[in-house]
Amino acid sequence: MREDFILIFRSHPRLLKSVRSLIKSYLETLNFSEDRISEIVLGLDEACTNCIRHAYKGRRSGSIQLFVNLGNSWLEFVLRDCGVCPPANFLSATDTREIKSGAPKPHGVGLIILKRTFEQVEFKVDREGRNCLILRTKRPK
Amino acid sequence: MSIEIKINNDEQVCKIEVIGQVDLYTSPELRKAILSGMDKVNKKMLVELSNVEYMDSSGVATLVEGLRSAMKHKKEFYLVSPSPAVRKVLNLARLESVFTILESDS
Repeated sequence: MREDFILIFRSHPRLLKSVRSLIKSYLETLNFSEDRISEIVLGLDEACTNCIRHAYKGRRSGSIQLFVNLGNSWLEFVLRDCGVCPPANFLSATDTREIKSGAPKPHGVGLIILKRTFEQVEFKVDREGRNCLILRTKRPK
Repeated sequence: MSIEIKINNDEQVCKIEVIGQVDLYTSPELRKAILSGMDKVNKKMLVELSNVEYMDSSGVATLVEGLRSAMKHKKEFYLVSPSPAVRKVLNLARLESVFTILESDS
């Protein structure tokens, strides 16, 4: 995979709109359908939102790094932050049953969207101790 | 802010029209409007979403919170004419069936 670009931005919610706009423009150059572009933008926005809400606990001065890597078949987003590390099982813990029950609770929706948007979702802590979320989707043929 | 909220209410019905993008930055405005409207209205809350260009999970969570508040206070809560962007996020979150969706407010 080749690194197409790196975006570094503060963990301020005001910046999410600009990040979405940039990613949308980039995806348009890769021949994704309009529908798929809106899904990927949403999924990536959810990942950034998770960084702000959970890793940085709403702190607006944290740093978020988004690496965009392009391969022949796959498009990869790597999101790095230096915030609080999530629980080990956070990617598998979410379930919609709680939300669908009689008294829905407004939690975990972002993670559900994230997992439904990308074909591959991985989380690791890198050598520098940063949270590292890896999201991959297949490129259009 | 990339959101505009118009509120039209009487004792029975509160209609909130949302225009623009609902995300982590703007959803607190929507939350404030819904919960404030819920306090004032006796019967029905309508959230009109046809002009929402974008909504993320924080917007969905705000709508779920509004629904829960309505259920708690025995009031009705409806989403009206959700835009394709809203339908997309509700569908991905598997929450379309949780809400009562009206195609128009008439």
